[in-house]
Amino acid sequence: MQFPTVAFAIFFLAAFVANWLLRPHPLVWRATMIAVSLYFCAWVDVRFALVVLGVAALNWVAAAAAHRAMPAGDPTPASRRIVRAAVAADVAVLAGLAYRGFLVESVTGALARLGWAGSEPVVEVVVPVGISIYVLHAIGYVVDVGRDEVEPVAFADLLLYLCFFPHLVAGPVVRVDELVPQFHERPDPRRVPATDAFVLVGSGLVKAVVIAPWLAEQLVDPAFAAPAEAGGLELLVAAYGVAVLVYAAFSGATDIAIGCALLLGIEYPRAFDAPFAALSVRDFWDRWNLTVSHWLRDYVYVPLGGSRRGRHLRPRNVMVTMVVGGLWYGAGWNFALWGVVHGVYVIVEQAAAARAERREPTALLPTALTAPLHWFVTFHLVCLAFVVYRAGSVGDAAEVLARVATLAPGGAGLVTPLVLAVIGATVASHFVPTEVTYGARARFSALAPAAQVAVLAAGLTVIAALGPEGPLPFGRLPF
Amino acid sequence: MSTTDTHSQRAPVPPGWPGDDPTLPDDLDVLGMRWWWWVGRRTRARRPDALEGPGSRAGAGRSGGGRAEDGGTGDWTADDVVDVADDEPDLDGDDLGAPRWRWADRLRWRGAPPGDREPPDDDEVAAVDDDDLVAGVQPAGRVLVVLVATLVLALLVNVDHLVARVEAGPPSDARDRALSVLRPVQDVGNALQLTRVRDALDALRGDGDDDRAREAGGARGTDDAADSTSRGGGGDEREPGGEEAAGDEDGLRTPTADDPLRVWVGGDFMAQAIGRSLAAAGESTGVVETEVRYEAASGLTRPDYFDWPAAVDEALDDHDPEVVVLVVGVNDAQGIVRPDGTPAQVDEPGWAEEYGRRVGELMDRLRGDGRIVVWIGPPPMREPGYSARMARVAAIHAEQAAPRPWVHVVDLAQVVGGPDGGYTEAVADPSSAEPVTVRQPDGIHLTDAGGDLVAAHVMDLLRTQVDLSGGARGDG
Repeated sequence: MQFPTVAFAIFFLAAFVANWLLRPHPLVWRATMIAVSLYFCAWVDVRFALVVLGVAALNWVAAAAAHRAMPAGDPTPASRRIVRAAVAADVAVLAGLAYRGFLVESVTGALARLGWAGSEPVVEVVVPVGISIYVLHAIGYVVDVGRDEVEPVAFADLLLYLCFFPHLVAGPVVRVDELVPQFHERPDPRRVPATDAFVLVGSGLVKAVVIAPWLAEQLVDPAFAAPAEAGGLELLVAAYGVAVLVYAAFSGATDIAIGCALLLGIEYPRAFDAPFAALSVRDFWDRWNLTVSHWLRDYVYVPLGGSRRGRHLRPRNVMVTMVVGGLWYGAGWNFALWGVVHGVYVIVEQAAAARAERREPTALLPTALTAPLHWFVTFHLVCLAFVVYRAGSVGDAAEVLARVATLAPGGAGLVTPLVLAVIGATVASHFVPTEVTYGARARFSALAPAAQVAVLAAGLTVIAALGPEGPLPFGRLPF
Repeated sequence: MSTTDTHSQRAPVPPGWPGDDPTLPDDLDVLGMRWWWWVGRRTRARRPDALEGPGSRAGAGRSGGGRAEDGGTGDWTADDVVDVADDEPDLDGDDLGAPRWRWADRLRWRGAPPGDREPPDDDEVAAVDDDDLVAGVQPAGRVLVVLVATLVLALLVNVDHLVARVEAGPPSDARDRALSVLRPVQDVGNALQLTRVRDALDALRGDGDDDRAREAGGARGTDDAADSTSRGGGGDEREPGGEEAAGDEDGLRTPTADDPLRVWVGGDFMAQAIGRSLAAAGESTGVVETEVRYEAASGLTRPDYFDWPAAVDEALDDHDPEVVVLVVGVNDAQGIVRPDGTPAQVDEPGWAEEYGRRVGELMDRLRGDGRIVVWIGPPPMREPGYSARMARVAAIHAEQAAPRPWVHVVDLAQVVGGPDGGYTEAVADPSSAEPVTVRQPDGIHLTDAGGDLVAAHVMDLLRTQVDLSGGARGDG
C-alpha cells in the first residue's frame, strides 16, 4: 500500500479512529495498532508480516538473553556474543530479502567474467517494502540493550516499535527510547497538532508525488538514458535535478510518515534539515536523512571505533559507514560507489580541517564571500556524487561528468524555464526559515473547519492533477 | 455528536497502568465543537461563563498554570492574547473561570459558543506568538471530521480520474467492487458539477503540456514504449488525406505471405481482447500482419490523458497500415473541454457537438490511399445508465461515419448484444449455435470468446474488401 492512495486514506481514517478511541486502554491499544500495522504489511505481502513477527521474536529473545547475561549492567563476553549473533541474523534477513537479487547478480556476474557461464538463477523473492527500516530498528534495539542503554521492552512494545505503520515504508528510523515511551504515554486527544500534520503531509505529497516524478520524467530520466545526446550544461542541470529528485522523494516520504504519526499522537524526529543549505559535506550529512545517518553513526561508525581508535583508522571507519549508508539507499554498485565518493569527501574534509586547526587562520577571502563559496562548492560536490548515484554504470557516470566538464555541445531540449524554476525553488526553499510560514499556519488554524476542508481538498486536487497518472515510483526506490 | 459518552463508559484503567493518566479527565470532549462553528465565522470570543456542557466542567483536569494564579477579573484584553503564550496549556474547564482564555483554546477545547465579544482582526491573530495556534492544535474528533470531509470532497472532485484509473487495471473482483462503489460517487460528483473543478485544472495543465501527455502515454504498456523519450509536438497539423487519396474505389492490393496486409489495431482496453483475436485470425490467413496498440482508460474526450490523434499519426508514420481498426468509446462518456477552454458535461448539448467533431477529425486523419478504417464503438453495458450513454456515443460514431465512405462502423450491439440490441452475457456462436459467454463479470469488458466473435466479424468485413486467400481481388 502506498501513502498517496484512496486505499491508504480509508485505512488511515480507520486507524485514526481506533487509535484515539482505544488510547485509554493501553493493552487493547497496542494490540490494535499491531494488528493495524501488520495488516498494512500484509497488504504488500502476507509473508512480509510473517517476517516482521519473526524478526521481532528473534530480537526480543536475544535482547532478553543479553540483558540476563549482564547482571552488573556492563556488557559481558556472553552478552556481546548474543548481540553479535542477533545482529548477524538481522543482517542475514536483510541480505536474504532486500539485497538477495543484488548479491546473486553480483556473484553471477563475477562468475561469468571468470568464464563460469552457468544458467542465470531466477530470483523470485518479494522484496518487502520497508524491510530495511524495521531491520534497522531491530538491530538498534538489540545493540542498545547490549550496551545497557535501554532496558528490554515488552514483546508487544517491540513488535509495535518495529512495525508501526507510518515509518514502515520509508522511515524515519527512530531509536527505541524515542518511540516506545510514547506508546506508554497517553497523548491528550484534545491536543492534536493538526496544522503541523497537514503541512507535513501536504509538503510531503508535493515533493514525493509532484516534484520527484515530474523531474524524473522531464529531465533526469531522458538525460541519463542518452547522455550522449544531451549537452554539457543540460547534464549539469540534470545533476542538480537528480539531487533535488532524490531529496524530494525521500524527504517527501518521511514528511508524510511524520505527519501521519503526528495525527496519531506520536512524534517522530525530523529527518531532513535543509540539506542543500549545507556549507560542507559533513554539514550536509548533519542535515540529510538524519535519522538514517544517526543510525549509521551509532551502529556502524561507533562500533568500528569511530574516531577514537587513532587517526589512521578513522578514514577506514568513515568509508565503511558511507558504503553501508550508500547500500541502504539501494541495492546496487552505483549506490555503494556513491557512498565511496562521500566517504572520500568526508575524509578529505576532516584532514583539511585538522590541518587548518594546526595553522594560523589566514583570511584568503573576505568573510562575506566564504560562506557562499563554501555553499557553492559543497552543493556541486553533492550533485556530482548524485550523478554516480543515478547513473546506470561507472561508464555512464564518467560520460556524464566528462560531458559536463567539457561543456559538450548538443542539447535535447530538456532544460525548460519550468524545470529550472522547480529546481531553483526547491533549493531556495532550504534557505527560508520555517518561521516565515507561521503567520500562514496560524491563519489556517484559525479558519472554520468548513473552510479548512475547502483549502485541504483544493490542495489535494491540485496535487492529484499535477501528479503522474498511474502508480508512483515511491518508497525507498525513487527510480 | 460527541464521543464523550464513549469515554465516560470506558472500563477504568487499572491503577499503575500507563494509560491511567490522572491528569486527563475521563469524559474528554474530543470532538469539541458546536454545529454553528462549522459554518460560522471562525472566531467568536467566548466568555468563560458562557461555557456549557459536561466537558467544560469535567474532571480534576491538569492543573492549569498561567492566569489562574493572577486572580484576574474576568475581562479579556488584547494583551492576554500575547502574554498567555508562555503559559502552561489549560485543559480543564475549571480553570476557565480565570481570564486567561486565548485564541488557541478554542481550537483545542470546546469550540466557540457565541459570545458577545468581537474577535481581534486578522493582523492581531497573525501576530500571536502562540505555538498551539501555529501547530493548529485541535481535538481529535474535529480533526477526524475535517479529514473525512476533506477526503469526501476531494473524492467527488477527482472521481472521474479515479474511475479511469481503476478501469485501467486488469479485470478482477477488487476492481469490480471499487467500480461499483465509485460509479455512484461519480454520478454524485457529476450531478454536483464538482468534477468540473478537476476538468478545469486538467485543461489548464493540458494546454501547455501536450508533450508530457504523449510521453506518458508512450511509456504505458505499448509496443513502442521504447521511444517514450522522443519529443515534439505530435503532428496535429497533419492534413487529412486529399481527395485523390481517398480512393475507396481503387480498393486494396491482394496481400501475399511475402507482402502481407498491414493491419493496425488501436484503442482502449477493449482493443486488447479484440486486437489479440484479430491478430490470431489474421495470422491464420497467412497474409495479414497485425500490430496492436491499446491504452487502457483512454478515449477521445481526454487527450490530456492520452492523445489518440497523435498516437494515430505516429502509427501511420511507423507502420503505414492498409487497414486501421480503432476501438474507442467506452471511456468517452465524461466531461469534455472545448477548444475555447470551456468544459461541457455529457448531458449538455455542446458535448455531442464537440465529441462528434473529434470523432470526425480522427476519421479524416485516418483516411489514406485506399486505406480501410474499421471503427468499433462501445457495446451495450449491463448498467442501464452507462449503457444509455454508450448508445449515445455509438450513435455519434455512426453519424460521423455516414458521410465518410472509408470508415466502416462495426456496431457491437449487433455482434455481442442480445436479440434486442441490449446487454447480454452470452450469445449464440454463429458457427456452432452454442451459447458463448462474451462479457466479463464486470458487465463491461469482453471475454476472449467475445473478442473472437468481434474479430471474426471484422475479418468477414475485410474479406468483402480484400482478397485474403492470396488469390483474386475481392469485390470492393
